[in-house]
Amino acid sequence: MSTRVRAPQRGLRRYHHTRSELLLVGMGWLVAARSASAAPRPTEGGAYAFAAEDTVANWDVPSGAVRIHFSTDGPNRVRPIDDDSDGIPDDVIEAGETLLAALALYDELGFRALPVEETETLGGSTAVDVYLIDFGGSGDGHYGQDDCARAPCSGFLVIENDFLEGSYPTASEGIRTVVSHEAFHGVQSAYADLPVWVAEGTAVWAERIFDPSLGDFANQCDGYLADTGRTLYQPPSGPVAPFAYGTALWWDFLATRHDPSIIERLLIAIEAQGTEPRPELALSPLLEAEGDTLEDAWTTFVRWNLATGPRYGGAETHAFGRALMGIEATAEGPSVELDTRVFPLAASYFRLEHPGGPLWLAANADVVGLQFSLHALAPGATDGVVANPRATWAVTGAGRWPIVEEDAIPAGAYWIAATYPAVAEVAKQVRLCIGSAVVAEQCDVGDDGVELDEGASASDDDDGGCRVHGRSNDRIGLLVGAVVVVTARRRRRRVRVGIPRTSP
Amino acid sequence: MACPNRSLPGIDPIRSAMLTVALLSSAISALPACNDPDAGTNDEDEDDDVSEGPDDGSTPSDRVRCEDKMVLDLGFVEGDPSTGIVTNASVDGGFASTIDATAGGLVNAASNPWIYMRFTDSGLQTVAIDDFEALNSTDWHIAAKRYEVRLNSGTGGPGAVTGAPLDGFSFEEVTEAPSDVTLVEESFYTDDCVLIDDGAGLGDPRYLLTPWWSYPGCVATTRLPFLIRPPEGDPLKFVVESYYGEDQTRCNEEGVMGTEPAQFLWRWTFLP
Repeated sequence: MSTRVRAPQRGLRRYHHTRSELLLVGMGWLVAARSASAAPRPTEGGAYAFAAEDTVANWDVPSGAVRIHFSTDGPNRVRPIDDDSDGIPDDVIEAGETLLAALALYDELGFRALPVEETETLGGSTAVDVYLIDFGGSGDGHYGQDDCARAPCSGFLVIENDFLEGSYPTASEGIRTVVSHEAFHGVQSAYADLPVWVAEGTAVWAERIFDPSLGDFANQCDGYLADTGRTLYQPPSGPVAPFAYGTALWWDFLATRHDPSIIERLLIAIEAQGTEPRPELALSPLLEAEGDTLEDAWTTFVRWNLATGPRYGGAETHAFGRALMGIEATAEGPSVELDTRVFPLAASYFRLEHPGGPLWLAANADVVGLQFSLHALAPGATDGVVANPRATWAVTGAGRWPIVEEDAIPAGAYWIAATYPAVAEVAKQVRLCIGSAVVAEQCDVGDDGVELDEGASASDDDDGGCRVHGRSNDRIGLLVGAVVVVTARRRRRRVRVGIPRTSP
Repeated sequence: MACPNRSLPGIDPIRSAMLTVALLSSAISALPACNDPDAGTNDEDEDDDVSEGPDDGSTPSDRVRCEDKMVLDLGFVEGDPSTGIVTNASVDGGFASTIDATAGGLVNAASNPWIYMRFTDSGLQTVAIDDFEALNSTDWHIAAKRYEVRLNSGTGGPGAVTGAPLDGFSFEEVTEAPSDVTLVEESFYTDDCVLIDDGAGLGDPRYLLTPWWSYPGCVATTRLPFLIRPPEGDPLKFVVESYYGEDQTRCNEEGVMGTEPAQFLWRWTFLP
C-alpha cells in the first residue's frame, strides 16, 4: 500500500503549501501507513472515504476492465464538466482512459499485469476499481491492497477527486500524473513488497515513461538533488520523504543508459530476494548483466546531476536537466578542510574558487574507492554552466598528494564531484583537505601522511595516493589538475576558507 | 549566557501560547533564571539556559554503535545547533518545560538538527551542540526533533541515561522511583545495525520513549509516564503533556489535529 504525497513545485507551477496543509501531508501518510492492514475502500470508511452526503455513482470503461467510483454531489464530488455531453463527467472518463493507457504501456514494456480480483465482491465487479476522493490537501493518490485470497494481492486506486488545490497546471495533468503513478504501484505489487525508495522512485519514473511532458517527475527529482549526500538506499524516516520519490532520477538514468526494461528486471531481482529485500544488493548484478558496472553507472550519474539546473548546457546530463533544481554545494571556497563521513552511493559537490597554482589533497584515512571529477566553469564565472570532467581521480590511500602533476590549474571557479560508488554497510570517516600545498601541509593526516614533496607525482604512485586521469589543455599548454574531496552527510558544513597560496 | 547546574530552581516565563494548557496554567509560578537580573522578563531570555556541559566526570562510552546508520536514519545535520527554545516553569515541585522541536517545520526538518537538552535542578537546559557533536557528548540527556524523542544512551548516544515506561501509573501517582522497574538504554538497532522500527509504518526508530504518542488521526499524547535516570543524579518522572501548542486536548479526545506541532510541553520531577 502506498499513498502518494505531492511534491512542492517550482516556478509558476509551485504548489503553495500552507502550514496546515503540510501537516496534513505528513500526517495523512501516517494515517495510510497505519491503516495498511485494514485497507478499507472509500465506500467502507477509512482515511479516504466517501461521506454520507455523497451521491456515489460508477462508470466502467467500455472494455469493463476499469471501474471509476465517483461522487456527483457531496464533499467528494467531481468537477461537473461534461464537454461531450455524454452524461459522464470528463474527469471520470479521463481517469479511466488514463489507467487503461498506463496499464497497456506497462504491459508493453514487459511488466507484469496489475493484479485483479477474481470475484465481484469488491467494487461490484472484477474490474480494477478507482475511487475519486477529496484528499483535502493531504496527498492526491493512493494504492491499497485488500484482496489476498491469492497471491499477489489485488487492490484499488484512490485518486484526488478534482485537483483543485493547484498542485498541477491542470486537472488533466493531475489525473494523468497520479493515475499513472498509482497504477505502477499496482504493477509493483505483482512482484514484491518494495522498500519506499524503490516503490516511490520507480512509480515517479513510471509517470515520465507514461508521459514525458508531466512536470511532476522533475519536481520530485529535486527531492533527491536536495540531499545527494544521503545514501541512495537510506531515505530518511518520517512522514515526508521527498528523497524517496526523488530517487526516480536514478531509475530514469538507468533506464536511459540501458533500456526501460531494466526496471522490470530490477523488480524480478528484488522479488527473488524474498520477504526482506535489499534492492541495493541487486544493482551490481543487474548492471553487470548489461555489461555495465555500478561504479561506472553511479559515477556517471553523479556527474550528470552536477550539470543540471543552473549548471545545465555544457556537459552530458539528463535530457530534462534544465528543468531540475540543480545540486547544492556541500562546501565552497578557495580551500576545503573537512572532517567528514563518506557514505556509499551518495555524492557531494564542492565549488572551488581557485586562485591559481598547484592544488593538493590531504587525507588522514584510507579512502579507497572514492571517485572524483573536476569540472570547469566559463572563464570568469563563479558559478553556472559546467563542462564535462576535465579530469577524474580515484584515491587509493591516505597521505598528501599534489594533484597537479606539472603546471597549475588556471585561476577560476571549478566544481568537484565526489562520490563513493559502492554499496557498503558503513561510511568512511576521514579528514580531508583540498587547496594549496600549504593547506595540505597543515592538514593533520596523522602517521599516514607523507612528507610534503611538490615534486611528487600522484600518478607515479601506483601503490597509493591518487590516480589522476587528466587531459592536457592544448589551448594554454597546461595540464589541468584537480582537487580531491569527499562526500559528507552534512547540510551546513563548517568550511575553513584558506588563504590562497601557491607554495608551502 | 551559560546556566550551569544550580541548587535553586530557576524558571523562565512560560510563553503565552502554552498558558492555554489549562491543566497547568493555574499552577505555574515564574521565577528568575540563573540569577540574571534580566532573566525571566522577556522572550529573549527564554533560551538563556544553554549548558556548556557538566563537570560531572562523565565520559563518553565507546563509539556509539551503528553511528553511520543513525546519521542517515535520524537525519543528522552538522552545523549550527538547534535554535529551538526551551522554557521552564515550576509545577508541583517539578517542572513544566516547553520545547520547540519544530526543526524548521515538517518539510524543513530534514535540514535542521535535533535539539539537545539536559535535566538540571534549575530546569531543562538546552545543550548547544549539533547532531554530530552529540555523538561524542555526555552533556545531553534527552533530544527531540518533531515527534521523535531519544535518550543519550545505547544506540541513541554515548551517555548512560536510562529509562523505562511506568505502565499502570499516572504521572501524578508516581512519588518515588519504583524499585521494581528495570531501567534500560536506548536500543533501536539490532546487533547487526538493522533499524528496529516503531511499527507505525514510517520507518521511525523504536525509541524508548516512543509510547508517549499514539495516532488516532493526530499525534495524541498517551500521558504514559516514564522513569528516567541521568547518570549523575536522581531519577525523575517524565511525561509528555502535549505535542501541539494548541488543541492537544481536542486531538486526544476527538482525533482532530491540533496546531503548532512539535511545540512540546513536558512535565518532569526529580524523585527522591
